[in-house]
Amino acid sequence: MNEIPVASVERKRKIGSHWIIFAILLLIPLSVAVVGYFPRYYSFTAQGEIVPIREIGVDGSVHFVYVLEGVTNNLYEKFSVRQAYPDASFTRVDSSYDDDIDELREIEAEMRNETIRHAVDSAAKASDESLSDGERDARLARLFEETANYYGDSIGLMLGIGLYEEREHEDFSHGGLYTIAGTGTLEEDDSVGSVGAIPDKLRTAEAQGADIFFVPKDKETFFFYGLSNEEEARQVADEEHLRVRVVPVSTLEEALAFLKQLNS
Amino acid sequence: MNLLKSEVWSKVLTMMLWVLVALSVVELVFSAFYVLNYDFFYDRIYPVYGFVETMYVVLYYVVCIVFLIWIYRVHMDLNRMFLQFPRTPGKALACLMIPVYNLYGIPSTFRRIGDSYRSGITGFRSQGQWIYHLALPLLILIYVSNTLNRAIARVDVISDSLMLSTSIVEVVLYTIFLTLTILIAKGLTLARAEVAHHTAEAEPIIEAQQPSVSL
Repeated sequence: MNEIPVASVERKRKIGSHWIIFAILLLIPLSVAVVGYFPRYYSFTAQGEIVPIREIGVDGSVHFVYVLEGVTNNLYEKFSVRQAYPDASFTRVDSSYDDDIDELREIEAEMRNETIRHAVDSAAKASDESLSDGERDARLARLFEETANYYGDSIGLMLGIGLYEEREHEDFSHGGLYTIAGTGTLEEDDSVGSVGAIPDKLRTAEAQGADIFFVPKDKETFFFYGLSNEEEARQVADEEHLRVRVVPVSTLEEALAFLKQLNS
Repeated sequence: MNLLKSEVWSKVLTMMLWVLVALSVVELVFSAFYVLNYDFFYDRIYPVYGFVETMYVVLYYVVCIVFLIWIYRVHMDLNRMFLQFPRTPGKALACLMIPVYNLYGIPSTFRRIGDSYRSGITGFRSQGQWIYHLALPLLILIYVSNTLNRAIARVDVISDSLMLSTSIVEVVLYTIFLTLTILIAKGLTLARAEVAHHTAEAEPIIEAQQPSVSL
């Protein structure tokens, strides 16, 4: 008779233990999921691609560069982005950034259209061929449409070069001998303005086999915090022993002059 | 006879596999939305998809560890109850874990268990057959699942067919694992009952003999 309660207690203990183990083990994935989904915001940039200017309907041989930018809302999204783009760099931001980025996109779209206008005008000026208002508007409308998926104004310089090639029937790549890429805005006075994400753009150009990479010559004019585009590009190129040749230019004419003296 | 060494872990593994199967079904539903209506998936499902996906992946690894503990203890029981059982707990773990060797090791582990059940446990022949015959599909599905997951990791954009086929394979794979766990655990319980029954039958004989030797 004494044995019956002992067996019963043992059985109860065993019945309870598997539920306890189960609950503890289930807490592991649950905790990881909760931590992974806890709101924590990071902005990121990652290498993108160099895009032939032909892809936006300009008959030139040069390339513009885009990089990927975005915001992750939690560690899971950050992990997913890192899986997709191992080279992505992250910066912690606050929760309002996600809302701000929509406004920023609108501003960047307007800036892009502005630099396209300058590129069209500067290329016309450089080729000594004037455009009628109708031609100009039609060209602008087409370019706005073709570039609708890109944000920011860093396409200006390369678009200006591409439009010049188109007008003058030039091929600065000498039949594809050189892969020419670059970044920088084009201002109303034909000067090349500073842009962001220089390290990622330069690495993208290097990874995609560019030979020449134009950057704004802005050491004297850079008014933001930190290194100028020119200095940053040189620093990255030196530190990472990049093969691509970094060419700082301050105007469209300077870039065209450099390209014209390239040997075939 | 004492309680089975694997009893608690059989219950734990069964419950965890139920959760894993449930999550794999949820993921299959998500995949179906991904294929049929991407906009709906992106707007409505994506916000919770990451949570489910994280739980699912981490749970999978937890289940793998629990499975190894369980199979070790199952073999401890099998070695106690089937005196001729041809595989030690350590060797069973090696069969499952050593790459390439587990091509042979995984099916052979389950086939030996199935073999022992169909020949050694009264009234458990058909279940033993099931365990025996599920061993090969299990191996094939493990490798198909691994290959599909590697393909997903490699591509930039996951195609509809890849997404859906991976989810279907995983549901079937985890269901087979669950079935095997339930059948093996049930078989061990029956085998223990049979051993206990034989021991109980043998005890009176021992007791009957005792008076003749005591003075």
